[in-house]
Amino acid sequence: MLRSAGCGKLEASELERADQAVGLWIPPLRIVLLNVAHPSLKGLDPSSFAFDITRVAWHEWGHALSIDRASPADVADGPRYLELMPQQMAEAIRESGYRRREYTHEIVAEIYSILMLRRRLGEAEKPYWLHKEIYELVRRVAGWNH
Amino acid sequence: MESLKLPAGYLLPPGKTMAEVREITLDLLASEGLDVEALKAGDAPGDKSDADE
Repeated sequence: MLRSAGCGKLEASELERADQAVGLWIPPLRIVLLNVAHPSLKGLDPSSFAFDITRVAWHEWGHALSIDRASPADVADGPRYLELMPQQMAEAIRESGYRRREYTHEIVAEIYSILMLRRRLGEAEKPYWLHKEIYELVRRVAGWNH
Repeated sequence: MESLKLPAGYLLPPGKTMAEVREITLDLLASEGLDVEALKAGDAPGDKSDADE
């Protein structure tokens, strides 16, 4: 797809990484791709499948916002922000093999997608489990206006 | 700036499934007393259109 748009091609290592993703935000094309055939989505009941796809879609849209709007200082602060995340979420980001310069984008995307889930339940304020600095980061970068 | 040109993906930790990641999210929301069953069922208040009312 990148090649057909005249954007060159990804290196083999990047292509392999992209192949493993459940969803992707492609900055040069400004599109979200969802891999609905990903092995981790196989065999799910319809409501779980819809939940997961929705979560990944909002996560990728969070990437679109973060990659456009996060400052170099925000990106540099990624490892520090990761220390402020709920423990299980921080572990998941560390274990998934993201680069340190991607931490801020992952944090914004993860929290943005969860804030969208909470909004469906009528909750828009800062969750008690979210550190104030990360909430302010997401407000600033993703435009969350509560 | 190189990273800005690369795809940003939703990667899973090795050996973890979407179901396990989903549970981390739902546990956090449940700890707030939120109705995670409605979310899972697609029956949260925000899922309803005016036509559903």
